[in-house]
Amino acid sequence: MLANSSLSIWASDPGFNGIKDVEIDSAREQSKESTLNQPTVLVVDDEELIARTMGEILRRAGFKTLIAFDGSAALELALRSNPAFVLTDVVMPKMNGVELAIAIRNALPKTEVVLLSGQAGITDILEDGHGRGYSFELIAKPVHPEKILERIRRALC
Amino acid sequence: MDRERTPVSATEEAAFRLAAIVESSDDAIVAKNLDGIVTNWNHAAVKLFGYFPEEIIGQSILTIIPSELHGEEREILRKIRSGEKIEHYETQRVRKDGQSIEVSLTISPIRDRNGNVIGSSKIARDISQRKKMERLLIRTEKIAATGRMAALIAHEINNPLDSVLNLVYLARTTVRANDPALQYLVTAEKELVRVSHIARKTLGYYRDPGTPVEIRLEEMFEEILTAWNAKLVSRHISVDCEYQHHDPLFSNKDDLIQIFLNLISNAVDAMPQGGTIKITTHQQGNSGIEIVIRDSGVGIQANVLENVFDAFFTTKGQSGTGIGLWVARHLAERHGGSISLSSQTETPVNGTTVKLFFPFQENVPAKEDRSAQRRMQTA
Repeated sequence: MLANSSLSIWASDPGFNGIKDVEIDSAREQSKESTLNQPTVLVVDDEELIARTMGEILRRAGFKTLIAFDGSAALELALRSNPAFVLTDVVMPKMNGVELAIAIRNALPKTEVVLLSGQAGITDILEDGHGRGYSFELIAKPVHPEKILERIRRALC
Repeated sequence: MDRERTPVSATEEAAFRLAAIVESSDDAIVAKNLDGIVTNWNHAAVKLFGYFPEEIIGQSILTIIPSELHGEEREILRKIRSGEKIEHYETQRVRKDGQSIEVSLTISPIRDRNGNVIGSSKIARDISQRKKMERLLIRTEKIAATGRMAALIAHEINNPLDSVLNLVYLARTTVRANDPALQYLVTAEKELVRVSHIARKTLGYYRDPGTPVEIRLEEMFEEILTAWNAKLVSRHISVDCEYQHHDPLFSNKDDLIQIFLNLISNAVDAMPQGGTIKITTHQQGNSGIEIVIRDSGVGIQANVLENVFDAFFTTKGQSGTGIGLWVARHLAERHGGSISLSSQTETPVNGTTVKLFFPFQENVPAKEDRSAQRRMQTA
């Protein structure tokens, strides 16, 4: 465990073990013995609750999971850990999801990147990436977690 | 004689000149007495209102005032009698051909030599075009504001919904099989999936990439009508369907169902006393399929027809959300289709007809904004 401080995503429900050991950091690693040989999935969202809950869902599904709350922290984490799959929000501070996806695709060509967004009006950001010769799959929020799991399993398993 | 005639002729000339000015004015100039009877009517008034002087002089000014505004004329006459002037008063008048026009009025008292008010002069300017432009601007602003609001709502709703969906999923997969909370969580999750579906459809300008599937309109309508059956029966609404066999239509099934659900929902709401919904499908050569949904409901007033596809516009009062047709058009256009609506409020031809057209896949024009919605491969 890398955690040196911990926080439950539900302050009022400290008894829930699943996400209790989550480091309050812009980027952190959740790893368990059982997931050491599993492919790594990086979840990036500035909505911390989404990143944390999605991270937990993936961890329970047996993936080694990393979470980050902004694009640049995510890139740093990705370069360090070479994830097999990155699921990232689009509109985020510091570096948006498309910039992150482009950087990952250049540095880690084997990593699959899927964008997730709940915002209308992100066409400009997507078009910007498209104009530079990049395009990525986009999934609209809200999305049922099983659809995400299915998508990741399709890519990795 | 000359000395006597000169002043008379000067007065006459002044009067003649004044009459010429009035007659050549671009603004309609009308005079009336204190009983509201028209006494003068210039050339521009003929052009504006459609009546010739011989038709209107001697008639009540109420002839050109819409009946619902007759009270307004009483108020105008009251002010004029007390010597007040009314400037740039914007109101409506009705032309001889029945067409309603918007005018700006300046009304001044006419006094006799002794200063007694004996009538009024009315200068009317047609401001219909200006008003139309103003309304268009307001509408454009409203649409822009709606867009901004939708984007804001999308962010504020879709993200928390995503979190809650994840949380409920975690809770549902955490509780033991015999835990009584499990059923609550299963139901909560189902409801969330439903709300999420609506939120994605209405609050996002993009959607999940979906592979188009073959649509069988007949089956799709039967499915939708089955879901509506109980309501249709209780409202005494009969449905008459006429499906024409059509070439395969490939599209997004969920989007098409959403469109038809919204349209049938409107049709049902338009017929509180019962009626008939007629659904027809008709293939138009090799280009696509036309679908017509007609109800025998109360119809939509002509003056609001142009607004029915606007977001948050509703004719259903508190019970309407004002997004049904907006979403229907948005989704139809997303698939290269089109939607139009016509309506009649007069019996026995009352009712609303919605026509949709969906082109066959090969005829769907490539759209920039759709490219972003689809799963794309690196160029």
